[in-house]
Parts: sequence; structure tokens; C-alpha cells
Amino acid sequence: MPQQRDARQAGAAALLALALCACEPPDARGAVRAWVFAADDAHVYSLQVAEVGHLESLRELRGRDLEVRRGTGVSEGLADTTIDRGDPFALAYEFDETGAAVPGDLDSLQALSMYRGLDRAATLLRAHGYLPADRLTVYFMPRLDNIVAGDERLLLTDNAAYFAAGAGFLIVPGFVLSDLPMMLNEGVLAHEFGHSVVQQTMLGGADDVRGSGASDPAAWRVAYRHLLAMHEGVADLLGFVQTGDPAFIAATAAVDRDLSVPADLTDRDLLELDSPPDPNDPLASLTSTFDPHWQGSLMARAVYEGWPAPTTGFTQQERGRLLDAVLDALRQLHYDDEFSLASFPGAIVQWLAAADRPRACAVLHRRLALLSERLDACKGL
Amino acid sequence: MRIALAVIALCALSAPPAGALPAVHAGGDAGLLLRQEAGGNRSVLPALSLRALMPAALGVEVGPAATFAYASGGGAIASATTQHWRLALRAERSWTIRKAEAIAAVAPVLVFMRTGLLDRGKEIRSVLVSRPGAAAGVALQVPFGRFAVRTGADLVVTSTRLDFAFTLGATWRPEAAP
Repeated sequence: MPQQRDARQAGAAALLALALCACEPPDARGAVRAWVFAADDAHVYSLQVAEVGHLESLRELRGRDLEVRRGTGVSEGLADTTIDRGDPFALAYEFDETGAAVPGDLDSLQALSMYRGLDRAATLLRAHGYLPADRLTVYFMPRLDNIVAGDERLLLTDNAAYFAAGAGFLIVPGFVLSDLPMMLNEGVLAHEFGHSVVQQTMLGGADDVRGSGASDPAAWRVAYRHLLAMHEGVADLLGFVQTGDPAFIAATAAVDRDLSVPADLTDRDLLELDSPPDPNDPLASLTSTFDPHWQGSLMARAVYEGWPAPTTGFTQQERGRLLDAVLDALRQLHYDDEFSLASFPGAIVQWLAAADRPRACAVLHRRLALLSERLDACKGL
Repeated sequence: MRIALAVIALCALSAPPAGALPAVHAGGDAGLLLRQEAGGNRSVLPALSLRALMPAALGVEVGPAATFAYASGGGAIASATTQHWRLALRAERSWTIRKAEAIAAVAPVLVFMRTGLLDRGKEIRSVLVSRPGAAAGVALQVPFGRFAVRTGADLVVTSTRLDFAFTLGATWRPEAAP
């Protein structure tokens, strides 16, 4: 059957030709135009072509300040945490007729958009004098294992989180939130990057500060709760600085975190800060409802409200001034057992011009009245 | 993959040149494709495949196989759909074990993924990504007249992915006694 043999040879040749054609696109570095989810000036997110900057490898999503890893894992043991850094990311993409990179699957779309958001936060911070000490690692959809609780992947979903122990971020899949995923929200990404700024600037990049150097363990535990709340508040401010949207999280989740809506620190809020559970009482720790995001948001709202913004509102330039003040305040602060949620806004007041301080202090005294005694910078104002 | 290509090309080119029309063993399978995503995790996709194998040399059957799987993921704002195609030139060798046949297979493959990127449910952009790779698999086949029931598992390697597939299907064998 010569015809069959010819057909077989032709088929084999065609397959070989296809195999040679099916090459992956070249890697790219520097600034790359790519299809990503990004916000416009009105804070509306859409699929669009935008620049993704400072890449060393597009294929591996590795750049100046960030490295995205796949196949990672975090395993919590009784005494320590084991981190599996996995492998370099493997972005699926092709270049379109305009030269823009088009992600080839959902993971690639999300990871590329996320990388851009984090890189933009790093770029803004660098422009204001902050230099990340090291390249941060993004643990993309890691395995999460706990020696007691087992597989914890279903317990931590729909989130993006700063991961001090791994010097980077945990990006976990979304199952519940149906709107914009956390990892695509540029404000949330700047918020998470903000945690690394607090950790590096104020705490020397420590992977944890819980109980270290405690002369009075009870006082230290209280200070630690105040620190956690301040961490979240500063991160919220950086999310606002990056996006210009005081309600940046609203695109993702309907939670009460809008910085432009003033709110007062209540007795209950302060009680939560000042009453950490005894670490020797595991039941108390398990039943604690303390969420530092809330108290942190109250602090950030007070700073936002008291900031001497011009009548034109928070322009990009004004947000840059706020960022300068935030970075300078973090450099001035020291974490010890006297530390409180009032420490940070106090340092912000000291940064302000003398003429702007009375109004800022009036706002702080009103919103954080229960912490007034600890607002040293506002004494006499 | 080049080795697999070379083995299959050798078998194809050394097939008997003359004689009776060789029997084509055609079959189809349904199964699950455990597709490795860019982030390293695997998602489970329903998959369908077709194959047609002809006797070559050394007791090996060679022929094309195609697999299709579909994926849809994301939320209300950002989502993506993927049509996952896998084309292979499959070489199989079988051994009779009592009334069943054990099968081992290798294949060079081409994976094509047509992905649509959606904004609020509307496709804004699409892209075709292709990757060469290689596959290896095992199967167990139990003949029932001209048909055989078959279950198998495949492993597919491309440059940055490692996929698995588990299938259940049937093979039509015209030369077998009814």
C-alpha cells in the first residue's frame, strides 16, 4: 500500500513541522506592554493593555523588587514553620500583533496583573526614598499545611497577605468573593506591600516581633496588638496613596474600611487592643474576635481626616506628601512596651507644619479620644 | 519528545508495504484531565479523546489521537475560558494477560490552548498558546467481541507543565470475531 505509506510519511512530517513551529515565545525583560486587569482614573477595573515594568524575566515573573514562585508550600510545625519556595513561575503568554503580551490562561492573567500592581507600589515607594532591602517573594497559591489542623487551603482563601516569615506575600485562590479578586485590586496590593514597608522601616525586617525583648510580657502583648492595628492602618493609607481611592477595597469586598468615612475609636475597640488573651490559655486565644484591620482603619481614617489637604482634595501630589509623612513617621517610631496605636498619628503630627497641627490634633482628639493621653505630639494643642 | 518522535517515525516508516488493508483500531475515551496551571496547582477538567491506530512494525500500533478539554474560571469581573487541545502521534504496544490486554504507549504531542480573557463576562481578547511535549501512558483493555472496554492513565510533559489524564473508553476492532 504505497499510498498508505506516503500518507503515513506525510503525517509524520507534518507532525514534526508542527512540533518545530510550536515554540514558546521569547522571554522579555524591562518594561513590557501586556493585557492585564487594571484600574482607570475613576477606579474602575477593566481588561486593558498596560505597562508591566522592571522585569528581569517575563516568563518567570521576576523583576527588580519581586519574584513570583509557583508550587510553593508553607508548613507550620509545633515549633517552627517550613517554607518550600517551589519553582520559578511559568507564565503562559503570546505576543499579539501590537507586541503586547497576552496571558494564556487565568493563572497567568491574574499573576501578571498582580505583579504589575505590586511593582507599581514598589516604584511609587522608591520615588519617595524607600528602598526595599531585598527582593520580595510572592508565594502564588501555596500549599498550606499545619501539623495540627492539616491542610489549611480551604481556611485561607480569597485573600492576599503579607508573609513576614517568608519575606513576601501569600496569594491564595478566590472561592467566595465574586467581584474583583484581592490579587487584582491595586489598593489591596499596595496595602500588602505597605506591611513590608512597616516591617523593614520600623522593625528592621524582623520575621516576627511577638514577645522579642519583652521585659514585661503582659505589657508587650498589649503593645503587640497596638502594633498589629497600626500595621493595618498604615497599610490602608498606602493603599489610598497608591490608588487615590479612600474606599479602594470596595471593588473587592463590602467591608467598612472607607477612609473618607470618619469613625470614632470606642470603648470596645480599645478594650480589644488592651486585653490580649493570655498565651497560656489556648481557649481564650481561639475565641478572640480581635481584628486589627478595624482599629487600624480607625487610625487611618483619623489621619486622613486630619490631613491638611488643599481644597482641591487629595491630588496625586498631595498623596505624595502624605506618603513622605508616613515614611518619615515610620522611621521615627520605636516599638517597645510603651507603643500604642496613637504613636503613629503622633509622629504624623510632628511631620506637619506648625500651622497645620492644631486642626490635625483636634481631629485626633475627637476620633481617638480614648487614646488622647498618649498623643504626646498634640499636648498643648 | 524528539526520542518519542524518532521511535514513532521509525515504526511508521517500517510498516509492511503491501498486503491486506490493515485494520484500524478506533476508539474514544472520556475522562479527567488534571491540568497543571501556571501557578503550579492542577485543575480538574472534563476531557474527551479520539484515537485511530494502525499496525506498524514490531507489534506496535501507530496513529493519531486528539484530546479536548474545557476550562472556565474566575469571578464576575475577571474570568477566562480555555479550550485545551492535545494532538498526538501515539504508538502503542499491547501484551495479552489472560482475557485482558495491557497497553503501554508513548507519543509526541502538541498542546494548543485557545484562551478567552473576559471582562464582566464579555470576551475582550483571545490568544492561542501552543507547546510541544511528550506523553507516556498505560491502559488496560478487555475485549468484548469487536469492541473492547479500556481504562488508562496518561502523563503529558511540556516545557513547564506536567499534566495527568485518567480515561475510560472503548475501542472498535473490526478484525475481531463478533
